[in-house]
Amino acid sequence: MVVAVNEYVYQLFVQMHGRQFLLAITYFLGGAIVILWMIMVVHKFLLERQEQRQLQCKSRYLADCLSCLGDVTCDFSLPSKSWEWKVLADVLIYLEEGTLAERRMSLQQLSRRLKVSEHLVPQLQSRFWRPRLESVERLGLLRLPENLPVLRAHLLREQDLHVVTKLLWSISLVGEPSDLKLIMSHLGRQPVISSKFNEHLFQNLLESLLMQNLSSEAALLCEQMLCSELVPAIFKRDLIEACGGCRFLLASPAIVNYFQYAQHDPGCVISCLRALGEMGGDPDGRLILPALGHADWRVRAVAARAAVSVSGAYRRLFELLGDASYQVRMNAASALVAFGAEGRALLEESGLASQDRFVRDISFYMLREY
Amino acid sequence: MLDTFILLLLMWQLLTLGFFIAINSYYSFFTLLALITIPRQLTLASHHHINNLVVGSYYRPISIIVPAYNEELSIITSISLLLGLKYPEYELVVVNDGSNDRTLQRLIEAFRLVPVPRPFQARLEHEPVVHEYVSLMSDQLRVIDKRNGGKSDALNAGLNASRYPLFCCVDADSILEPNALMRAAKMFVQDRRVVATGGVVRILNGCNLTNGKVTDVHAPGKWVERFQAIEYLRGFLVGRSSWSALNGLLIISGAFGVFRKDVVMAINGYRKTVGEDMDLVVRLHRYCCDQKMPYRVCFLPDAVCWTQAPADWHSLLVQRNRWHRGLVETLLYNRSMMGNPRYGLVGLVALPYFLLFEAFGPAIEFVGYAGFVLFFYFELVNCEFALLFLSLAVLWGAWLNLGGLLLDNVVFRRYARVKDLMILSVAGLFEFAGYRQLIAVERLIATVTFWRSSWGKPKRHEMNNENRKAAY
Repeated sequence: MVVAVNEYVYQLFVQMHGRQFLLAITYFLGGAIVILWMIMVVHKFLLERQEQRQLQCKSRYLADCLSCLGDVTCDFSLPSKSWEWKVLADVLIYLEEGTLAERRMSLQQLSRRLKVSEHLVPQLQSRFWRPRLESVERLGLLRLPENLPVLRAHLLREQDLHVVTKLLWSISLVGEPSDLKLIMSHLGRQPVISSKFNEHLFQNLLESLLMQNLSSEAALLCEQMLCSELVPAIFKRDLIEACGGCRFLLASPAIVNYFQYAQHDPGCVISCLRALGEMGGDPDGRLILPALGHADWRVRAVAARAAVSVSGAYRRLFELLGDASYQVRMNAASALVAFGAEGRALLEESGLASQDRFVRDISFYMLREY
Repeated sequence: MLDTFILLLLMWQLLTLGFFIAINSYYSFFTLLALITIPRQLTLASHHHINNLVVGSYYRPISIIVPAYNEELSIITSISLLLGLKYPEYELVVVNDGSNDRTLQRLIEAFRLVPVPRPFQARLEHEPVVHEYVSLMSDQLRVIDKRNGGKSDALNAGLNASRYPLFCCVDADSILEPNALMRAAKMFVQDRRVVATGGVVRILNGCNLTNGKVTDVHAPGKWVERFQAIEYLRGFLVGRSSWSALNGLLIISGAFGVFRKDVVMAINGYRKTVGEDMDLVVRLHRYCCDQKMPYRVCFLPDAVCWTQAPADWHSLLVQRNRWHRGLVETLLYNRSMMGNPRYGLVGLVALPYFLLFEAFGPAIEFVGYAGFVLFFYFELVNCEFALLFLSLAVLWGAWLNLGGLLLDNVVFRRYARVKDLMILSVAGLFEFAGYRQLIAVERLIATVTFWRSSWGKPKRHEMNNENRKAAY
C-alpha cells in the first residue's frame, strides 16, 4: 500500500510537470545567485568609484569655497552635473554648521552667487519622495530667506508625511514671524509628531527671528500665541519650552501672564516654571517660590530646579530636602549645590548634621559629587 | 502497522514540503520588502539630519543600562566606548549582577569608583543591591552592585536606578557605533507613538577596533563565525526590517534596544525568563493593544551595535538553546494573544508565524530529515526527485543568504574587500549543508526542555581596542 501511495504521489508529481517545474526553479535560482553576486561586486566597484569622485569633488569645492569667501570676483568652476550641485550644496552646508554670524553671511552670499538653490528647487517636482526630501533638507540647511516662498508653496501641495515634516523643519530654520501660524496649522494636522519635535521647530523659528534682529516681533508673537484661545494648550506648552530652550528673556512677561491664567493645569505650570528657570525670567521668585509649596510633586520638583535663578532661595530649598517626594529632594539638593558657597555651606553645616538620614545621605552625596 | 507508520510519514513529508515552500517564500518576500524599506529609512536619517540632532536640543535624554555578569574580559573596553558616544545627554548605569570574577574590581580600578550611600527607589522588584558606586572620572557613570538574579533582574535594578525617560539596554560584550544611540532615539522625537526601537546587531569577530570604532570590517576567521555573520545579516536586515515595516516586530535584541521607560514600568519591567528581550516586546504589544493606545515598535537598520558572536561550536549551541527556550517560553506565556484579533497583526500573523515557523520549525524540519533517511532505508525515495529537491533547497537557501549579503552591500557596504564578500557568499552557500541541521537539532532539544532556566554563558574573549592617533 505504501509503495502504491508513494507511486501515486510520484505519478501526480510527473503529471503536474513537477520535474520540469523543479528544474526550472533550480535553474532560475542558480542564475539568480550568479546575477546577485555579479550585482554585488559590480555595484560595489561602481559605487566606490562614484564615492571617490564625490570625495575629490568635495575637497575641490571646499578649497574653492574657502578661497572665494567674501571675494565676489573670485573664479569658481561651477558644477555641470546634478550630483555635483548636491556635493556643492553639502559643502556649503558643512561650512555653515556652527559658524559665526558674519561668516554665515559670507557663505550665504556665496550660495546666492553660485545659484545653488536654483539647482535644488527642480528636484521638488520629482515623482519620488526621496529626491524631494533631500532637496527640502538642503534648501533648509542653506538657510537662505529667499527659499522661503518656494518651501511655503511646496508645503501646500506636498502629500508625503516625511517631506511635510522636513518642510516644516526647513521653514523653521529661516522663518519669519508669520511662519509660526503656518507651522502650527500644519502641526495640528499631523497627529503623530511628538511635543519635542514641535518644541524643536518653535526653537528654530525663535532663533531664526533673533538672528534677523526681530526679537520684539518674536516677543509679540509669543504673547499673541499664548493669549489666543484658538491655539491648543499643548502648542502653548511647546512654545514656552522653546522660549526657555533659547533663553528668550523678552518672552518672560507673556509666560508669566500665561502662568497666572493656566494655574489649574500642572503641565502648563511646569513648562512655565522650567522656561522661567532656564531664562532667569523670575529673579525675585514671584512665581517660583510659591510653587515650591505646590500640592503636585512634579511642580515642586521643577520649581526646585528653577529656584537656582532666584536669589536667596536656598533656605527654602533646604526645607525641601525633607520633602515627601524623592525627586523634589534630589532637585533641591542639586539646586543648593548650584547656589555655590552659600548652598554648600548650608549642606555642610545643617545637611550633614540633620536628624533625617535621607537629608544626611543626599547632602553627603551632593557635596562629594559636585 | 509499519505500513500505516510509513504512510503517515509520507503525509508528514508532504507537510514538510509545504513548510519548506512557505518558509522560503516568506523569506523571499521579506528580502524584497527589506530592499524597499531599508533605503527609505536611511534617506530619513541622512548625515545632515543626524548631525543636526547631535548638536541641537532635539533629543530626549537616555539612561544606558548595562547588565554585567562575569564580563571581566570585555567590560572595560565596552564601558570606555559607551562613555564616548555622541549623544547630548545620557547616563550609564552598569549593573554588576553578582559576578564571581573580577568584573567589579576591574570597574573600580579603571573608572575610580567610590561607593555612595545614595537612596534607591525600588519601583521594580529585584535582588538586593549591595552597593552603588559613582565614578570620579566620569559623572555619567554609575555602577550598581547587586546579588545575582539573572539578566532581567539586573535590568530591573538598572531601571530603578535610571533617571531619564528613555532607556537603552546594551550587553556588556557589545559596543555601539558612536551615533547609534542618536539614530535609535530619534524616532521617539519624530513619532510620539514609538515605544521601542532596536538596531542592527553585527558580528565583531574578525573586525579591527581602533579608538573605539570598528575600522576594518572583515569576514570572521572561523566558519562557525562566518555562518553566524550570514545568519545575522539575514535575520536583522531582512527579517526584522520587514516585520518592523508591517508593525509586527516581536524581537528587539537584548544587545541593543531603546525603550520608553514609562511604558516598560507600566508592565512591571522585565520578567524573569531566559528570553527577556522578546518577552518584553511581546508584552509591550499586549499592553499597548489592551490600553488601545496607538504605538509603534521600530527596527532601525542604521543604528549599529557590534557584538562578539560565539567562536566555538559549544558556545554557539548553548546560546541557540537559550534563545529557543526563551522563544518557546514567551510564546507560551503570551498564548492568549495568539490568533486574537484584539492584538491586530501581532496576534493574527506575527505570533502564529513565530509559533509555526520558529518554535515548531526545528521539529518539523527534523522529522523531515528523519523521514528522508527512513524512506531511503525502505527504498521509497525517488533519487531524481530527491536530488532535484536537494538542489532546490540548497540554492533557495543560498539565494536568501546572498540576498541578505547583497542588501548589506548595496545599502551599507561594510565589507571593504571583495574577498570578504566571496567568503561570506561561500558560507551562505554551505550554511544549508550541516550548520542549519545542527542548529535545528539544538533548537529541537531546547523545544522539549523549554522549562529549563539555566543561562549557559558563552565563552568570552577580550576585545582589542587599539588606541591609535587619528590620521589627519
